[in-house]
Amino acid sequence: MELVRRLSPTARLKLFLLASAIGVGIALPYLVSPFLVGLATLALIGGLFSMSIDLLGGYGGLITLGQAGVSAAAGYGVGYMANRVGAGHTTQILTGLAVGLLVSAIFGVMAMRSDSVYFIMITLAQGMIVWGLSIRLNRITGAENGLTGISRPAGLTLYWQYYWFALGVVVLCSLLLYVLVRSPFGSATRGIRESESRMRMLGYNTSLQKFYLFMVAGFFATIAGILLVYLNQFISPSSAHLTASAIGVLQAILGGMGTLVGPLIGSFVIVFIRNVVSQYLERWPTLLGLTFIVVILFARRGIVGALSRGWRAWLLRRYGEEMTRADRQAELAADVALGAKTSGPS
Amino acid sequence: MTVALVIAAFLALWWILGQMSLRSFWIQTLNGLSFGAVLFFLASGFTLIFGLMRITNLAHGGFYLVGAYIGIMLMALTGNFFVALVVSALAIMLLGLFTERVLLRPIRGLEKPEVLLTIGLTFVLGDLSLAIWGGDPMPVPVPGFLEGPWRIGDFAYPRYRLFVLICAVVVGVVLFYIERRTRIGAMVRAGVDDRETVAALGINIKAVFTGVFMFGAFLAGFAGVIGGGFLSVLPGQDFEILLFALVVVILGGLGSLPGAVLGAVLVGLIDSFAKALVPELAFFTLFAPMALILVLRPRGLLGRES
Amino acid sequence: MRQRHPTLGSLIVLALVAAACSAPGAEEPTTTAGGVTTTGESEVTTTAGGETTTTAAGEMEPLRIGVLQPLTGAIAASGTDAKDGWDLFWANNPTEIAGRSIEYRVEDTAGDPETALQKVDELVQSYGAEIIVGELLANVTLALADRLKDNPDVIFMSPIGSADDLTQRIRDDYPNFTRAGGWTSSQTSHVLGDWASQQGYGTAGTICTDYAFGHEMCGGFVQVFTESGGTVDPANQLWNPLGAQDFATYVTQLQGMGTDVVFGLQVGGSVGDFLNTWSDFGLKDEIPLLGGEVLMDISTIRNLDPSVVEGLVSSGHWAEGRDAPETQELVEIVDGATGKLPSYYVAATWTAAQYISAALEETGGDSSDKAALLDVMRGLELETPFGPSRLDDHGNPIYDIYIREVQLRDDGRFWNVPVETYEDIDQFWPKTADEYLQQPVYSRDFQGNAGG
Repeated sequence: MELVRRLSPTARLKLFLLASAIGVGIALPYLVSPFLVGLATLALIGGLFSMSIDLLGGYGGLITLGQAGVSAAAGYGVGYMANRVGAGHTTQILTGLAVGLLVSAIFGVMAMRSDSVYFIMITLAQGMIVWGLSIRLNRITGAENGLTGISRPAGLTLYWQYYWFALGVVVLCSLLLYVLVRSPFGSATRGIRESESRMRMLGYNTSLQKFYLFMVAGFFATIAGILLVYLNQFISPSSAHLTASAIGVLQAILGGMGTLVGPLIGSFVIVFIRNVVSQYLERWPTLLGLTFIVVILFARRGIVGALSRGWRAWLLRRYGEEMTRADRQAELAADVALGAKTSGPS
Repeated sequence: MTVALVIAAFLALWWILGQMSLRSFWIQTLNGLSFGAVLFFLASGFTLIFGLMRITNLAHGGFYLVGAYIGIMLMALTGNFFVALVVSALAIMLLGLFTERVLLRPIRGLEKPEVLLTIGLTFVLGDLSLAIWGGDPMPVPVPGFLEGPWRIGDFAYPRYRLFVLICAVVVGVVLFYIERRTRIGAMVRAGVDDRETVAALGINIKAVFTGVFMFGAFLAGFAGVIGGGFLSVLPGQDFEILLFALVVVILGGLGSLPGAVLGAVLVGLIDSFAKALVPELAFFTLFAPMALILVLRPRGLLGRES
Repeated sequence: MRQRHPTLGSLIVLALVAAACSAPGAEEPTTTAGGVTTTGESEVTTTAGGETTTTAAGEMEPLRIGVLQPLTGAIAASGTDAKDGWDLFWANNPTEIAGRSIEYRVEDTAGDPETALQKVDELVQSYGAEIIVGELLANVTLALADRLKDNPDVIFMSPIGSADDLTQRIRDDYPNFTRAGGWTSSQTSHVLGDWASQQGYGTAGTICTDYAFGHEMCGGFVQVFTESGGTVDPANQLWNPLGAQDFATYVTQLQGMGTDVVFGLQVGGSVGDFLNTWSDFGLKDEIPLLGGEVLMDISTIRNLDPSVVEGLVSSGHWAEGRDAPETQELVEIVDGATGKLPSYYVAATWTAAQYISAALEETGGDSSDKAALLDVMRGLELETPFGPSRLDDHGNPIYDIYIREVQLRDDGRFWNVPVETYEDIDQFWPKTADEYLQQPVYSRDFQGNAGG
């Protein structure tokens, strides 16, 4: 149609990919086994989790190694209400939300004055504190044994029902994030990533801005945590461990930071590696680590970045210099998203 | 700020002495310091690398682990602890060379990819260690003359831990000397302050970088073998010891060698006394001060404002 | 906002309509769960999980078993031992029983409950496992038990994971669970408590890992010791975090307590660290140390210096130095295959395989009725590498428990040799089931201390 033809090739491609993805996503339970649908659910949730990390990292320039602490705290909120108190699902979810947001707030206050490397280390420690708490507070968290007996809300008990629910929630959150990064909030966030001192000179309270960012990212991590605990119907301290946070970051980088869809793709790839490949390959952690190293060295913008580059090369050959402005702008944004160090005082 | 900390330290000391006998106090102090010694070896390399190159080498834990395993292997081959110690450290030094030149060079200057690559490297090192050496926990066998307790009167303390403590003091002194009194140290200090000028002066800054990274790796391998004498080596230890090292440098200040000493002493002592007095909270007594320091002094106690 | 492409729109609508019309469950590929194939005459039923099962007549498909162990991660050594025990049994025994062949697949849980849950779903749904054997850690075992408890077509066996309550107070929630080849955490420490009292020790201190397994094993010792006349001051019970490495502080505290004896329970790398520190401070010659089974398990002490462990006493259902043909056969096989003396992990999965093999023999290869298969297992009395074994009414084995001592062998290695045997010990000894179940499961708060 007229309007679509006037869209740039890139925009048309994105639209097509989005449509197909949603189509396949909805049709998935009819196409593959329940086990794979379960994995897809897990990948979706992991994608949301990594998106929250990307919000902080790709857009805000702040890499966090403690996001699993937030999502696990939310999960424990749900689990505690379900297992220890026996409350109904609404209470469980509200508690989960409250706990997740509270932890985000506390973490945010601690970390908001830091940047870059210190931020990484603080968040690492924060995540591990949640992990330590979950091991120690036996009465609340069940310690190493974790919390079982967490049933899903009515209408979501079957694997495909839950899958569609998770799909819906993740799509909704993605939309929210899409709007968010294009809002003034998103611009201010990107401003901090590019130069915090400049933002401060412009009159922004950058610490407060970082705090808000932490809260927003924490909100999405909280949602992911609640989705996960209902998927597994179980939670244990390993959900809060550094490894969980690190894998979240890995997924975001692998897929491509500073893009929203990248973390989702990265999540699917990692879930695939961990569950399917590990059947045949005993050394999957090595594979995981190598994937990481290779991506950082040769495809720093991740899968999405690599695909974009290939696409643009093809565009160039096909259309010559007629690259759209949007395309070029997107390219620049992706470059800075990885925190290329600018010389001089930061 | 400093005054407040000193007062807090005195109060803590006074309370602690009220809780235990003098003998217990000295033993716990030695426990804490000997553990802190291992952390110092690890943290000093880490902080040097960061101070000069602004690289957060999270693979330092992996270096420690592999160093320890190589040490065990060499002990089995040669039976000589000191040979094992030095050769393992050299081996890790070479690993450091590889890491810096092949893996990190292409992404120099990009702080976040650097950190993340080192995490990926840790995964690989940890899993390959599992594949090569298996998962059985193994201590590094210590030489006969360092086994068992050293007794003076009715006071007994493990010889090996005293040895580790003495090593730390010696290494610390050597490091300080190198940093303050030698030309290399001056180059490093200058490079930390102003990279461009150093390069402009014709000093091969790249070689200095590589050298420092290798030296940091050497220290990590050294830490692995020495620590392995009283901390069994096993899969997963790379992340655990890294965590402690991070707390040390956060407390003491990234990039600062005196900070690494201070941080190591603090962490070792806190860990030791907390286990003795408030075992319930032993975990938090470690992270809580770190969190507090970060909020009040984001650069650590002796860190540089840069 | 860009306009919606009509094709996109119609695609979405189509998908929604399709979704509304039929649930995917009805169209799922069949997963066999009864060990029988379908060739025409079969019934397709849909269970609550949206999966289908095929029942009824046909030829015998192999019996598929899924094994879940931690093959990577901090506990990898023990997990690998467990895998070895299982593999070696089937390598040395017939894999076709009463005309039915055995197939299995081993999956790595990495010691993580979430990974384990994903793998077990895959094993049950895709692979078609009828029996799941695993895991090693109590928390993972509990998570798996929970996941599998509502599935009547699967038997869950845990020859290692020893969370007490699974065969005690919460037994009825897990009808398809059995611990053939396994044990409860406190089963072996009860005996040690009695033995310690018999030796004349009056006071004891404890140093145990601060998690459920540690609580249970320690509680077992403390309860029987104090009920036999010994004293344990609650202040003398030390708890260290899981994964603790630096034991200097704990050891010096124990020294300061001045008790007659110390009971210790550690796992993984902490075992070596603790025992080395115990020796380094000179306490090995000062204070008698009694070990919970895992403290002296050969897999955790084999790399230590003999002087650190020689002569140390512990209790256990496994003793690789036991002079009996079933035990020494296993020792020979394992030593030959791996160059190491077998730990209890190896013996446990071997025994679990032995139970499956024997049970299948009894049913003539039929595994379609899981409840019946479990009943058969409960009726078996086997001579296992542990010793004589049979299951009690609650699904937990009854064994001879040994007081073991670490002794040097001629080849320079050392191993655990029984110096005294307590025969026919079940999970409740010395109490009866009813008495025992009246009290809560052991925890930080409840150590069964008769002194209060």
